[in-house]
Amino acid sequence: MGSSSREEELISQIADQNQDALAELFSLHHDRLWRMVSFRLDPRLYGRIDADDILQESWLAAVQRIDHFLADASRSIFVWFRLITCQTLIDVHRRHLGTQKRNAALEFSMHRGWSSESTSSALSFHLLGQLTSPSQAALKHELSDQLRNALSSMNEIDREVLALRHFEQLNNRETAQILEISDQAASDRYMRALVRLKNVLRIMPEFRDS
Amino acid sequence: MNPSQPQSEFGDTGFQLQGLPKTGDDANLRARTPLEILASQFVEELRRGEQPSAKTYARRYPIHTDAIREWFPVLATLEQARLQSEAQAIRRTMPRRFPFVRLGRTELLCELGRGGMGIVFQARELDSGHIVAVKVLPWRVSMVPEWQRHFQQEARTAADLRHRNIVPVYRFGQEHGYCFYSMQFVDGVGLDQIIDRLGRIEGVVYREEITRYHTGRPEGFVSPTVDAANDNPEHDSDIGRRRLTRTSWRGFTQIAVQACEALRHAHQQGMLHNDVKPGNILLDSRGHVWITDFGLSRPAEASAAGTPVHPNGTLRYMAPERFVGPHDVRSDLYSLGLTLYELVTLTPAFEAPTEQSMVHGILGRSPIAPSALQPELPRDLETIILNCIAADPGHRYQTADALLENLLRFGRGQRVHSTRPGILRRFWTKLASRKMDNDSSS
Repeated sequence: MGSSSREEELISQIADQNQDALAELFSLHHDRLWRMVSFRLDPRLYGRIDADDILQESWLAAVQRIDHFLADASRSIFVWFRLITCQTLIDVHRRHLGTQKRNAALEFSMHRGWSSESTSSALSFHLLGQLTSPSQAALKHELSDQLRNALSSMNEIDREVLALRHFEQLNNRETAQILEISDQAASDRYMRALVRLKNVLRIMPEFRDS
Repeated sequence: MNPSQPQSEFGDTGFQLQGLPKTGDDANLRARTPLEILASQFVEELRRGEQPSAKTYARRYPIHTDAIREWFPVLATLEQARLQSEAQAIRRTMPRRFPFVRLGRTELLCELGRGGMGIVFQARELDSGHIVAVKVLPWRVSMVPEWQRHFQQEARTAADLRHRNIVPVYRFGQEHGYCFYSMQFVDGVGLDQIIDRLGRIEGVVYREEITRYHTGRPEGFVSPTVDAANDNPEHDSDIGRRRLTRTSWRGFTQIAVQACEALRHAHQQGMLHNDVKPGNILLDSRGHVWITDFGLSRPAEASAAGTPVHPNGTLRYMAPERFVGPHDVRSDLYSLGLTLYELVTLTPAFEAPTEQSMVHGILGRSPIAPSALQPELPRDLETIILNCIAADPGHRYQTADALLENLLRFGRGQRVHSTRPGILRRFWTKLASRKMDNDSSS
């Protein structure tokens, strides 16, 4: 992560209207954007739309709006790409699901990501196995569901911070830029969200002995 | 890990953690809470598969001990959930049609089948013109570098396996962002289809049907040229002798023997199959058994980070110990046992509507005795199956050799014995352990 010298070089080429440089930059961040889209795509769109469709549309939008980025470079290029992709994602949801709420940005937020169709798996056992010491393995299996429930019971901001830090694997700086808060506030918020999550989990039986 | 040698970099800050952060180094450093910086480092290590422990962190940073103990395990839980949701997304995004017709040195002809773990194509090798099967794994390589590493490692090992009952892997590689491997094309059917067929009213599968089984073969399918020398009905075995019925005990045993020989060979090479199930055991029209999908598609189970989701079809045949920790050759034997169970009873040993209840079932109870479902089942064959599927790995056959020996004994009409402790033995074991407890406590 972080801006490599290659990235800076590419950005200066973009300023000279070099579209290939923009393409290369976009592809540098493709996988992280893909992760974000996959996580946030509404399950009702599975099969109709996939992450690559969204990214393609986002790419076109990025080409059109690159001047905006150059005019205001307070964000990193990744955060800017993410913003564009996020907007595309909202548009696509609106187009296909016909939703018309005031705040579409919040609307497609966390819920879906957490309450996935839950084909939870052997996968969850392994990592959870290192955390808890339950004698009954089956409980670990339920834990991932518990976590999902816990997250969806939390407030929007806490959930968003945890989503950005974990599900999108963003660092503190990127999280701060996306939430438009200071590094310090982002850092605090992340820790507070973690504490709250822990508190919600505490009242769930499976987590007591961890 | 040596705490004075941090491996984490914190993105845009360009800041490297040296032990505990010193205050006043840098505006960004002041801005972030020290605990959050440690949390980031912890998560970075998790993502690299280093398995950091909250306890170690707590010891290393005494002023944060309580907070670390309390909250860091939650970080790992979140990362786990993230991996899981990514694995689902990757499976979901397996495209309906691939935008390419060539992969490696092959030309894809048609799709033969797809499952949670990939799509199998029939393909033609460009240089030789040979018909092969190509399996494309469902995840895009760039998304999950850690899985890619595993894939290459396992593919290499699988490509080294050479046995008459193992579908040989020819090549593997990466192209268009996908991992794939090519293998011998076997013109046969999976035991899952045989089981399905036997379960229908007629309850019989004819030898001639096997190659014709793919009804409505996909467009583009090429029938491989039949090797006349190999197509001798007397050549192979009972299974080759025209037909299988619900009570073809000899035929079933021969299938089991060949599958077991394949496993034995792999186990001797230090390779577990990890996904033995009816669909991975193929039967061709000569009655020859082929095991496919060796150790591929799944990273080694022991690794915490990056283990992909097991699709439904696989979960059903998984040994109970695989949900809790280490597993070994006995877990493969268990899965083979469950496959035989289903072949002789035509009923899956475990059935449940959700994966979760399936896991509960596998961990919680033994399946109904096969003879209760199929009264004609010879007792010794039932004993062999039950020996394979004992919940406690210690009560199973310990090696494929042992299973093979028993299958051959059964084939010769000799008695086989239970490997599971009887009531009397359980009683003695209990007594002995109680005595030892008393001795050691006195």
